[in-house]
Amino acid sequence: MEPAIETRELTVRYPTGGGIESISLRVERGEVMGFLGKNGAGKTTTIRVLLDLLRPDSGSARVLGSDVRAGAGALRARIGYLPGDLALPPGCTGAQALDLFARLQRKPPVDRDRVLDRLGFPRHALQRSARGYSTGMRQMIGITLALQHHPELLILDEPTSGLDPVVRDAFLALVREARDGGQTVFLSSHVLDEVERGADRVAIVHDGRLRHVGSVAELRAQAPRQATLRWRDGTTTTLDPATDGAATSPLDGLLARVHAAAAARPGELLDIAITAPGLDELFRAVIARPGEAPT
Amino acid sequence: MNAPLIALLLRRHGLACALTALVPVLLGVVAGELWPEYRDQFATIEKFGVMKLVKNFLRSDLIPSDSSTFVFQLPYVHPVSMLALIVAMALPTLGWPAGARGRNVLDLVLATPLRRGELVVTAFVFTLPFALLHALAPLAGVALGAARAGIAGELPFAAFLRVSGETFALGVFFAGLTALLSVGLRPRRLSRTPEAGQALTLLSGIVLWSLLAEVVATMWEPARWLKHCTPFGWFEPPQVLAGTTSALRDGGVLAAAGLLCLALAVRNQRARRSA
Repeated sequence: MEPAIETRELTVRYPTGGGIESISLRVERGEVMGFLGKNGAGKTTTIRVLLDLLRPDSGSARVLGSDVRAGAGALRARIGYLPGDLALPPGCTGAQALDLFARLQRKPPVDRDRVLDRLGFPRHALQRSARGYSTGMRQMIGITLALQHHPELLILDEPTSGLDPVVRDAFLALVREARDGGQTVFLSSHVLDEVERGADRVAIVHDGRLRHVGSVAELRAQAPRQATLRWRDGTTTTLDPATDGAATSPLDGLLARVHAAAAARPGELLDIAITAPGLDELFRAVIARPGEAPT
Repeated sequence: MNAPLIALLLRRHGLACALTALVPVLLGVVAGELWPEYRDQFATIEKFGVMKLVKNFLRSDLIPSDSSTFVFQLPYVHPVSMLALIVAMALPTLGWPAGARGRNVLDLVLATPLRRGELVVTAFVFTLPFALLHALAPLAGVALGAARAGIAGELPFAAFLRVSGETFALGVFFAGLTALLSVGLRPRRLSRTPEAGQALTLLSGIVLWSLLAEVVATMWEPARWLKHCTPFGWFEPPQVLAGTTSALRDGGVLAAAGLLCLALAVRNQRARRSA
């Protein structure tokens, strides 16, 4: 079976600078891929190409086995999309917006009630004009728009922006359920925690270039470790190869530096803790590596 | 053509597009109110200098200025009627895709099976019933005004119906033109400027230039050639009423130009780098 998403050397250049450069990415069916990057890194540009909303300067993109341009309408019926800067058609109530997009998708909204219930969207508010919705309520409607017709592929751009922690948890549970049900989820975010909790693999894009693709566990395994030395006088010393710019492998040089530090204060070392960094640190470490090809 | 989008357009713009059609109806009623006084005071009115301008504009050389037909062409040719027609044609077509692009709604809509070209054609097709409404509204105004003035039997309604046909074609032209402006004239350009504003500015410029050229061409013989460089040059109610031009030919030119603009709009929307 062909992958859910496959891009080859995808390049988009904006006249004002920025864009994406030679993005080659493969998302397998039935997985949740987190697409990480800072604001302006190229996440939304990549997503817009996947939906044929933006034409690349070069490279190709295939989604669910079809070229994004050749597949066009029939292909998009199999995709659920949540844009990063969601705006609903003016003059619509929440219910009207959901009905409109169900009709545009040409598929029955089989999952609408379940998604609304899980997100805790107040049903009475569906009859209100969407213009009066809070950011979180609008985002909940946006998530429902993307999920209601049970698409094969979900492309979600910054899906949790504006959501409170409870709704965010509910959303992440929905993502996991979608994955378990065989749907593929491509989830862009700059909130690392939600990617860590929801994604099977992550792709990190920085300055328009793909810097890393792999599972969170792989990313962790590759990440430089941090050593914390605790001395008898109660002070601590942190040795962090990543911030020193010296790391090329997880323990690269670290043990030698621990030895050196211990030798400099003989008899004073009380304890050593070697820790793997959190996703925040990993992300920073990846984007700090200059011009590295994706691993 | 996309039924859900038509339903959205109807909810969003239907009332405004329909209400603008009241303008020519009201102008017809006003013409009916004015007619008896105008007829009785014609000799006095004609002494005013301003009458020459009006007579030139309404082509008194073709239709006697003391005839009811001369006065009752007002709902068709009054600038406010023209403006109402243009607004009704422009609201949906400027709203989709240009307005939706500016409001960030377009991506969401085009991420569905709706195709880029289908969106443009749908907005255009949506305007057609309103173009017809705007074409028949002046006729209704003339009928109401004539009934009010008690001269319903005097007026050449068949000729007015032909003018309505031209009005419909003018509506088709402006719907096509605004569709093209809404899509953008340079599809390969990646612009971040809100395009509804750009399109509206261009449309306003074209309309103002056309009105100016029409007035100059009507008033000044050496500039007569300008007349057929503007859409209003092909919209000639006095000539149609006088039987000196073919409404079918003029309307055909306008409708063909509108359809050509639509075809360009569809092509450009399909070719746009950024939807």
